[in-house]
Amino acid sequence: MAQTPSVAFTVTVANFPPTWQTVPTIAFAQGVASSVSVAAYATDTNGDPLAITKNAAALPPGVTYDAANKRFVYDGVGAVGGTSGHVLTADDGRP
Amino acid sequence: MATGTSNPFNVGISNTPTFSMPSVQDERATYTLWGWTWNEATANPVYDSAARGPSNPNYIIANPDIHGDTECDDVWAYLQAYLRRTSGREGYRLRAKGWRDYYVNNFNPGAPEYNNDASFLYDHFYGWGLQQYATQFSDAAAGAKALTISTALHDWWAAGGRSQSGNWPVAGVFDIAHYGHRGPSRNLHTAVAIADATIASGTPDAKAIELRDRLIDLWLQSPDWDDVHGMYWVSQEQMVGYGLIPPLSYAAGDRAVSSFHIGQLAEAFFAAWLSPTVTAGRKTAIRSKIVAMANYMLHNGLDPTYRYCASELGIRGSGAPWWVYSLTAPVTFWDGVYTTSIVNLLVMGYKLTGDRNFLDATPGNNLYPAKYCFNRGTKSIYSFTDTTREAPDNVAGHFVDTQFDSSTEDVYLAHNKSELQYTYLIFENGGSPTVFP
Repeated sequence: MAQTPSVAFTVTVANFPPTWQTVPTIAFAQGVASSVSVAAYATDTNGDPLAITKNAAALPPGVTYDAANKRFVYDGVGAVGGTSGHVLTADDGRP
Repeated sequence: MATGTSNPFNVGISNTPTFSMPSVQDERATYTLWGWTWNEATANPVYDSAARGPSNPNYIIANPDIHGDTECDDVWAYLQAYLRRTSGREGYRLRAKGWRDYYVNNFNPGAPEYNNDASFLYDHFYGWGLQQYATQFSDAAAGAKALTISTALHDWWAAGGRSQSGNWPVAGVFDIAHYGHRGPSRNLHTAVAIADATIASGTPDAKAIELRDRLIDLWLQSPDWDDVHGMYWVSQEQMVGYGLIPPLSYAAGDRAVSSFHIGQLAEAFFAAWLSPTVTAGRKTAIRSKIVAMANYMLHNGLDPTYRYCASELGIRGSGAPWWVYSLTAPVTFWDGVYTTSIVNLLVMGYKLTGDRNFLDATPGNNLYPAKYCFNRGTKSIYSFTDTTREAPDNVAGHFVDTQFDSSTEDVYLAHNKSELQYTYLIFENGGSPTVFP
């Protein structure tokens, strides 16, 4: 019986950049300490874990961005107010 | 590195959450966001006949069966349909006015429709639409009747209300969902609207404020709240009334709830949560209840086989969920339309937590978010099949306030007497509802 020769080859899967769903206005209730996760707004086609960082736009006093946990945190103390121009960047760590 | 950036967005702190009814343009934008197409003709109402259409300025509501036929505040529903549009809306205004005229002129103690529903524990008394109509059109008579309805509810509850005890029911003791949720939900919704309106006008109505706060406390402390599952269940007596016992057994731990009753409760709670005059403590507790109920419905709202909710659903003593249409084999009927009843509640879960699972998680594995429930419910066909659908998954079947039902004597909005009342939140900001944790 004839042997069928085999050929070894490598398949390289293209790395796609992360994509975003629309991030809505985030409005905390004054006096109520709480947090909002933004992790689910970014997805990676390749399934890579994503780091999410925020631009330099100033947050209202009492609100911080927790990059390690991918969430905005309100301390419940900050006064009524708001700021705009917040942009998040998702990075899959691959070229 | 491969990166992607989000849209620019706002972050704020507010002392009063606000909400505006999304427009029909928001509904279009939502469908676009989802990649759905639609027939633009379906964005417009399809009136049942010319006599009851926008050409008739004398549209009249006469002798409606308030208890038997209505499941929505029709003044509210038609007013929202009017406000959602900038053109082609006169018919909706006339219908809102027709219902307004009925309530102002005919809905009085002694009238058959009034007395009949009063005998059923005031479970179809509406007042928030009439109050909004009064505010919208500076209609003093509408405002006065809304206040009269609220006062009647107050006096009834002060004399025992659903407890029929002769005194205000006691929070923490009285099981407010005993006979179902819709009555005390609508009573609360009315009280919130009248309390806020009278406070805003500088003439606070003490009875409306007392009714609102007592009903909130009765709900928040009700013994029929199940903290493990995050749901208010009806009583054994009501399960018998629903025809669920047998095959279910209250003694064995089986519990039940009506899906659209929960939709009504969610609306009342949301109104209280939005109210600028409800205390922060009550709002925090209301928020917790809304999120818990949304979480229950996210995981247990739809039968995973047929992907529809049901008129009644619940848990068995074993903890397994059930849906009335598939409770016994063979399954021959599906309550698809009730699937829309939980859409707003799920959106509230998202708005109050920021957890995107509530809004548009990939459906399956006991996770059925608002967008999926909207898709399933709005395109279900009232028939003996689970597979016939009004439109494919990527096509909008119709806009949510455009179809009518004249199967009873009067004309009502179709699909549980107004699909809009259960679904409008999903259209906020064109399908990207504001998060307000």
